[in-house]
Amino acid sequence: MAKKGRDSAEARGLTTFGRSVASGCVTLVLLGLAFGSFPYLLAALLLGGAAFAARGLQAPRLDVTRATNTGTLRAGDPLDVALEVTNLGDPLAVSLHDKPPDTFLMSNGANFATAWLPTGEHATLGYTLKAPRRGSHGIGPLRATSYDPFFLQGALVAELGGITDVVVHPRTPQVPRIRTSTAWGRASLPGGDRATRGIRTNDFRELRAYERGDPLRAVNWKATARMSRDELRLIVNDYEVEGKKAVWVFVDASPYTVGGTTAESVFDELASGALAVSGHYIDLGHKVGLTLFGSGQTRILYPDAGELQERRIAAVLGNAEPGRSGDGVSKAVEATKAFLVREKPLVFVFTLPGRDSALGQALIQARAFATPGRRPATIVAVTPIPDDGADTPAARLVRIREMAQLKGLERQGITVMRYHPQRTSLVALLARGMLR
Amino acid sequence: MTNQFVKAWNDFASIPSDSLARRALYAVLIAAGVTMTGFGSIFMQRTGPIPYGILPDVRPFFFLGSGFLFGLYASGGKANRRALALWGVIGYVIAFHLEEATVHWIGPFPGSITGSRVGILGTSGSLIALLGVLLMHVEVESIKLSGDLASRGATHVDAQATGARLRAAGTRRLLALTAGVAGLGAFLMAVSPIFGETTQGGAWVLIIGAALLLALALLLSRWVPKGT
Repeated sequence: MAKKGRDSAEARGLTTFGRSVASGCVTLVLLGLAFGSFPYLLAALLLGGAAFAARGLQAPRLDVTRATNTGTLRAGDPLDVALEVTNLGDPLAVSLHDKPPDTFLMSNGANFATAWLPTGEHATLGYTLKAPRRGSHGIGPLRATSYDPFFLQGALVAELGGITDVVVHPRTPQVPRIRTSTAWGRASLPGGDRATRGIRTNDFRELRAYERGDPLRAVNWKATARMSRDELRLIVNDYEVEGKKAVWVFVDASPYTVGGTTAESVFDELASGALAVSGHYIDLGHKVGLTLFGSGQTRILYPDAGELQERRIAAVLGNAEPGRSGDGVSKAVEATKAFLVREKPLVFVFTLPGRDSALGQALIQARAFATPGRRPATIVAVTPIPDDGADTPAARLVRIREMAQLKGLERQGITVMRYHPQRTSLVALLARGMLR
Repeated sequence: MTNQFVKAWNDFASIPSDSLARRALYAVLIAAGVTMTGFGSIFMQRTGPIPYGILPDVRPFFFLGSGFLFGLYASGGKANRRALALWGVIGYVIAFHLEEATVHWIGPFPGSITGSRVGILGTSGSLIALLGVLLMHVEVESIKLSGDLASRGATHVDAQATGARLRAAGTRRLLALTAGVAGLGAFLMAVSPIFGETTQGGAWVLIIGAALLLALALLLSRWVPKGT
């Protein structure tokens, strides 16, 4: 990821002393012209020359190249940023400040440096950031400040290099197991069913690195030749196996999920949980589909298995911008109807209760779509409850509405996982099987 | 002679920045400029010692002391202190050249000083005093900038180096500018027998001189490398 460019410059005018020099020059010029006096005019020339030279200070003309480490970046991963700045103009003293996103932490190096740059010379700036939260974040622009050697004019600031967008995927919590309830056991997807051990079909799933035990005929020699640069790296074709099931994950990105701090929000918790569940079932070899709703247009990821699908889900959740208005859960279910009917998946819905009155009706509809026969499909509603500790009438009213909706869902046979993120992690909850 | 000048310049350059010695030197430069301005004026030439011989003449001490105090006042603090010192020096320049300046405007009256030439001493002193204040400003602000850069995260070495390069560039350009203006003054003196003096419309020769100076400035800025 590298970007070049030149955006804007900001001039600040003469300093206090610079204005005095200019005023003194004007005074002496007026007196010199009025009296026809050489000394006045010569003194004015000295001051005026200095002020004129200071006003001639140019904004820095720099060529900026910013590079960041490539590859998937997850929350908490280090992000290396390197800048190379080349001076295309006159020699100048310059300070460089690359603006990191507000929530990022500086873990190594410095994003500020100063240098005297002769024409054609370059300076480098390197630092490492730590991305605390998912989302699309902009690094930059680089604020290059040049200084007047006379200090009569304020520093000139130019914003260069543009903004480099970095997508931080949510970190996928590792879920060793999801303990199933009795109701789940009746469903078509037992929790510990590993779909990688069934009979291999002819349906191509993905290319992956060779693992001990893979048959030699599964080696994809063209891909192996492409990937083997310095040392042999066997790549094999992976095929779907029989008995694979589907899981569908609905994630709510409605405006009410933006609550929280700059470091973490309700949506981050929902996204993290959705990734954990997706990752768990993808590890077991099942197909996972995704519907992101509530923010702009509803986004649907076709159900698929494999590591690539996990990355796709992480990218969709990483790029989500909760806060914009969008379709509600009813329209999301309607948009996903064809997949639910065809795949008959186990459905997880990550949302907040008590906000959308249509939630219960939508989940019942989803269950109707996903039900393969007489036995109703399993729908799991995962709802983190923010533990804000507020005991105001408004907070009590919200809690009453939440509880009423959750009770209603349970009466309809929807499995509800309600937990306090500050007290219990979802991963532990899934492993313990605290299901109702 | 050249070697001596180079040696003197090297000695000056070796005085560390942010040192008392360097700022004192600039203060002395301002004091010398103010004193030269005073001594080059008609006021000093046409008046007797103050207080009229009863005590030793206090005028030199007054000039030196006030100029040095300007320098000391300007050698620290915020920019408004240097602005005040600059206006003090400008006040001296205006006051001590006023009598000469009014010759053309008011005169010729009987008994006036019509026809007196502008003194080299006074004019040079004015330029030196103004140069001293400007150099003091560059010195103080460059040190402040180094500290500011270091406090914002630059390494101490880089911040010091940037301040030093900027200070050197500013000092060099100010000296060049002053030399150019002094050269114009010398040019005026040289051509005054041809074009006439102040009282004879000689001020218009400034236009020729300024045009030459502008041409020189354009030449320097356009074709001469600005250094590395």
